[in-house]
Amino acid sequence: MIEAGWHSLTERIWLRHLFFALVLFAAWQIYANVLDEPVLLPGPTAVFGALVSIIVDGSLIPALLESLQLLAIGFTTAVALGVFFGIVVGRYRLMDRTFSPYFNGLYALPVVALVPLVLIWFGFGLLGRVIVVFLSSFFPILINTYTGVRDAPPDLTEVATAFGVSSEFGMLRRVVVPAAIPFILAGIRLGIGRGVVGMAIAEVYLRLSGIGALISSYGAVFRTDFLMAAILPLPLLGIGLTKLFGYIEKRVHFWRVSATT
Amino acid sequence: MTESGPKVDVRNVVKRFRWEKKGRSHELLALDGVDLAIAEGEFVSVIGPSGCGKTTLLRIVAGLISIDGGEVRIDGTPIQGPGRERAMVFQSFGLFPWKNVLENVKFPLLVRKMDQAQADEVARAFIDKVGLAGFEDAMPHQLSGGMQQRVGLARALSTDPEILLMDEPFGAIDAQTRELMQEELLRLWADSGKTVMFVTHDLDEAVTLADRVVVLTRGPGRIRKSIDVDLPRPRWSYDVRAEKNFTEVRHEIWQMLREDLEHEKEVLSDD
Repeated sequence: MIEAGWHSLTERIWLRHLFFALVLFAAWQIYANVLDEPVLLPGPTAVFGALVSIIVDGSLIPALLESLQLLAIGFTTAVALGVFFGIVVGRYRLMDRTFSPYFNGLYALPVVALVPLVLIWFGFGLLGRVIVVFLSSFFPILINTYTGVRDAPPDLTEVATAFGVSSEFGMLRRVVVPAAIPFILAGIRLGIGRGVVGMAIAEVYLRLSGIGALISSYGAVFRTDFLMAAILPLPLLGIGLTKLFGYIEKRVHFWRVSATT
Repeated sequence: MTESGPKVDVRNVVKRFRWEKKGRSHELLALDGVDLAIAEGEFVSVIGPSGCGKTTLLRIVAGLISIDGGEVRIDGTPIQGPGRERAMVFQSFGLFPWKNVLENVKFPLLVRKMDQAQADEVARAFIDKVGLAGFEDAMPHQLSGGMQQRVGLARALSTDPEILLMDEPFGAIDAQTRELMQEELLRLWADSGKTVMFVTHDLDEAVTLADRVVVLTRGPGRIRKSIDVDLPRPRWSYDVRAEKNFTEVRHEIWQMLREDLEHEKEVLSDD
């Protein structure tokens, strides 16, 4: 019964999404037709046609794969290092006092401001682009992990001590990191969104490649319909990846309700 | 093990808390030379006004915090931190919210490197003993306070400790459930031969459960008096609270606690 209820609820939400999308696209189409300026605003049918043609002519998929490769390398490095340093800085007070001001400062700094510096230091090859993606994803993951580890409930670490957990590694593995998991996942979710942004920045500003190259080249020749078709995969990618991690997060998240109330 | 000596021997224990605030260092003498000997198999309640250091004393015996003087011996050997012969039940239950009931009870067993299958078996047996059979897969937040503390009790008992250290274990549980839990604790403890140190601020609870009630004074904590509770066991078979002895002991302790509280009122009004 509960299962069935869930399904109908999600179906209703999907229907609502679909309905809104139809209204939006219809309005867009009508306005584009009235305006009749395809360079300023192509209609959704034109954009969809452009999307189909860049899929068919084989330019979108390789570009998307190139972008995804960049995102994957930069993002996984960010997860690994972000979680690692988050644990170190969150757990040890000396590290916290030494490093957290820098982390907080860099978190607030827009990555796009660092692009020229990355270019000078690392060039516009894969390394430079990966670093831009990395810098975009790293800080939210780091800071969330840090918060979760720092706020690991002291009464639970005491329970573990009382029941014989004596090594630092045991404490991290059995209590501190599990307690921080919801925070870590929230950081990763934020990191994905920012990673997609970093990916586009790297591909447009460092060296034209992947989706960024498609976007720039169609923009340069005022093919707005193709430009929009090339932009479309980015939000879809962001939504898809965030949804995926939101799902994982929810499965691990259920206990936090009781932990905070 | 020395046959004649006490199971738990707290000797002249001194504990100070120090902290810094706005550049000034502060110090609080929490325990000032506490002596307490608990015999093997004895059930001792420690009671005192809030802030008297009773929980601090228990945590010292558990090996969770250091001391500034004196020593704690178990079977004649000074303790070095927590040990396998002791298990603790916490006021706030101390369950891991990301683990279900079974995993929570298995926790200390796995820390002790018991293999999964055996830990599973032992944990299930104790979950059954505390009346939670069928709740093995439940998460802590799905359980009531009383049920959560049953898990805490099963977790402590599953390690088969010689000494059970209980820190106001039923303090956060509603009054009716608390009485049931007390009765159940007595049943689980009966004939187990386990030594129990039970910290509480609930006078009735202290007297109902214990062989002996130790009263602490407030700030700094000292042992004020140790009072034997001469009531027959098993105590769940009759209404302990209606006994003459119960009322007398209760009254004696209440007088002491009251003096302490009134003394404090005078001190406060002197300021």
